[in-house]
Amino acid sequence: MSARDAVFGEPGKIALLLGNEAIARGALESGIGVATAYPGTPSSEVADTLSYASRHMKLYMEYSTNEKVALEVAMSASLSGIRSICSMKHVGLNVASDSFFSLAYVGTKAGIVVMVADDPNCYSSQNEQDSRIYALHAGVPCLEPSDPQEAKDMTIEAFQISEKLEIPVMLRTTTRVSHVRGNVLLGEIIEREPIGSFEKNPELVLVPANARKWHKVLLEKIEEAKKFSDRTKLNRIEGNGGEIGIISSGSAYNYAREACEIAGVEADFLKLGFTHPVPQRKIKDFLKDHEKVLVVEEVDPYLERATKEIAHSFGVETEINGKNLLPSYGELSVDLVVRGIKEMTGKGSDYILLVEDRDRRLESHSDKLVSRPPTLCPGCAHRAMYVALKEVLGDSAIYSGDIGCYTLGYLPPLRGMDTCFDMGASIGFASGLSKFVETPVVAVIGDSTFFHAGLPALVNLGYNKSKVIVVVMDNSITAMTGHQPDPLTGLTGKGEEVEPIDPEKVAKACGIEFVRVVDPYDLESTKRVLEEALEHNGPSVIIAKRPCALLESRRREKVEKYRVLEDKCRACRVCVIKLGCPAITFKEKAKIVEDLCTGCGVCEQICPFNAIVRWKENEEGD
Amino acid sequence: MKKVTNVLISGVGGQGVLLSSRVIGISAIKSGLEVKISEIHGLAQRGGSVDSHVRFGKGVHSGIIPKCKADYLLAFEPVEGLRRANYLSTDGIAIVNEEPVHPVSVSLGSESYPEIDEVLSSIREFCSKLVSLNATSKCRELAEKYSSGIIPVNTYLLGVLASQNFPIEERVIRETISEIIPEKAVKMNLEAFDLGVKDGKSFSDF
Repeated sequence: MSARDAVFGEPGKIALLLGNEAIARGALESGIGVATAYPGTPSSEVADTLSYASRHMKLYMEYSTNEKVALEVAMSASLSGIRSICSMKHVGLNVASDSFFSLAYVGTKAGIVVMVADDPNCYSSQNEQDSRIYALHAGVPCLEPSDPQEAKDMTIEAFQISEKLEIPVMLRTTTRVSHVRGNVLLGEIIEREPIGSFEKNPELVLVPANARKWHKVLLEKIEEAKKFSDRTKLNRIEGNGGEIGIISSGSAYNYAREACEIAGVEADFLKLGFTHPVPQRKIKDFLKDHEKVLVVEEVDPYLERATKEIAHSFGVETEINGKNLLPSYGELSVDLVVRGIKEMTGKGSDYILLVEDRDRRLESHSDKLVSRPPTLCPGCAHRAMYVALKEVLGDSAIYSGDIGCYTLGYLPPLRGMDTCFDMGASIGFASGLSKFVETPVVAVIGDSTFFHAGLPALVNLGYNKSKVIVVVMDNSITAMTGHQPDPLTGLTGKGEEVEPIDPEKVAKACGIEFVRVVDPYDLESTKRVLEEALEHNGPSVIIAKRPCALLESRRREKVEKYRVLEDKCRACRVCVIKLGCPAITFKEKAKIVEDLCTGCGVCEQICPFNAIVRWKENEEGD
Repeated sequence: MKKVTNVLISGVGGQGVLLSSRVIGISAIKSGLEVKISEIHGLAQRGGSVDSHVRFGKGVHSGIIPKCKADYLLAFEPVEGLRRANYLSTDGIAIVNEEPVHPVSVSLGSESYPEIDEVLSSIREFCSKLVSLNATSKCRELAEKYSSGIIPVNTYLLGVLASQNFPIEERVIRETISEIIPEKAVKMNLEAFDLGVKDGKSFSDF
């Protein structure tokens, strides 16, 4: 709904946009012709908004197989003179890093923005890595907005910088920029046909002789970028004569501003929006003007290191604080910054005392705070597949897992996952492990992840004949990140229908002889196939096919639900203990919550006393 | 009017927390104010605890409400209200839906859900006023009347919020609801909102 505001909102109007939607709008106002992405929280809405836009305008948009491919597609557009944006989450840049470094060398013709969203506190990720280090590493300029309006404005500026310096530009956000909604003043959208021309240039072949030349070119571009960093208003000083100086960027800047207000501290700010390369002169001057400086940033001490390096090389003696007073992990917050400021100025203790009192008081009620971790949805076919796996292979098998909704199957009562490292690792890890241990090894992977990074591992497994049961949890969509299409969906990013890629054929082509498709809702047949796979002397692939229950429940008008026959229920709790379905509650007897039941019928198959039955049309109500 | 008003909305994934925060946000923009809303997406949304920080006024910096600074806590579920009670300002108002949603751990028997009265009295320690009602049961009647599969708890609670000296006019919130909610559900949601306002106004803490 708000994607529509971001795409169709009239110029001159103020809309309430998510940071990610504002970035998409900024890209549209910059006249992009191409947008690519692999979805990942907290970056997904950039791509989703542009996918929505591409259904109504000439823009070419694709959800690529993975971030590396996405970047290569965007790069091809840019080198053909078409502005492009490629969005991904921080760990996606690990996958795309090979292309990212080459792109930094060869540069661009039309502007290219690589939007990367970091996830401090790991709300939806396996680590907290700081993408600014990648900008430094690859030699790519980096912009960091603090709120939705800046996110839109900086996207537009990023395209200009990219073209001026003929280099890709990284637009780095964090969860609290990407997923903060705020006022955004809309500008004019420029529609661009995605047709360009590619000029041949032998130097685009990165053989050593060419690569050496490009490295020098890149260093020259970084020198230019340094001058720009000192010149641009993206890096600005706010206030003067304050008792301390604060250097900050991104959402951390907002916390620092508010922390000073709460603590009653008059501080001057060096607000950095262009953080690679850092503005050397501005930082030097700011240090000289202050006796004490606090660098406020989330996760890594990236700006702090740069600031200390500048202080050292110019012989400035200012006291520089940063990670000595603020944590290097998790998200920052206003009260954490107040604590840091209090250490430097002695001010803000009233507020800290109040916060500590309230936290302690809440702690005293912790017995009432029942935990509520995320769970698989009612009717989710992943749950049924885990039940079948556990019934056939038990707890002694090793379940090598992967990233997606099905990762939630690691939680009790299913406990269907023993490892989960990174995209595609389920198959790669299992392919090795099965050679070195004697227990059965299972790899569990979703369909989007299977194509993203599972394929090379599957080739490895098939070729080296690792005895692994690979289970592809096929719901034919990238569900966790908001239902983006993948190669099994049969839809492109522009919403055009295409032939899905058949995972059965793919598995066979990878040298797997035992390939079966099962319906996980049918527990008996699924278990039989698993038993056969266990007997089979070699690798096997089982495709557990069922659409996402969440999507289905939105699509279907009427569902045939299930209920518990109270007189037949013997209170054995098997349904609860085996499934952990949110639609089944237990109080003396099992009960099915009608609002939540999707009618999958798996509980009916689990109940040892046939106490769970389908509602009949003529038996309305209890 | 205060410089910045802070509303923390907490609940369970799927209860409509995000939609409610958007209604307040758009209403604030219509009232000529600056807005920032922090949301949680992705993994955490699947049936887990969800919260949304809504801030509006002049000079809103942080997207997250600083601890002890929330003027209003709008809890869609009692335990989820208590979980965020340390964000309430000492003169803040807590509005709590009394209908519990049991997490899977409770059905499994590994944890037990506390008594609602105990949860409410714990929340009371953090605020100057507690408005607690069973929004779900009131709205279930409405849903039946309109034969809707969706129970309009979120718009009802927005009505209760609007009745508590809220700095945005009821009229503006009503208008926003009718604009952003799918057309076929507008009538039911407006009725839920009006009922919330009425119940909120006549609510007595004693």
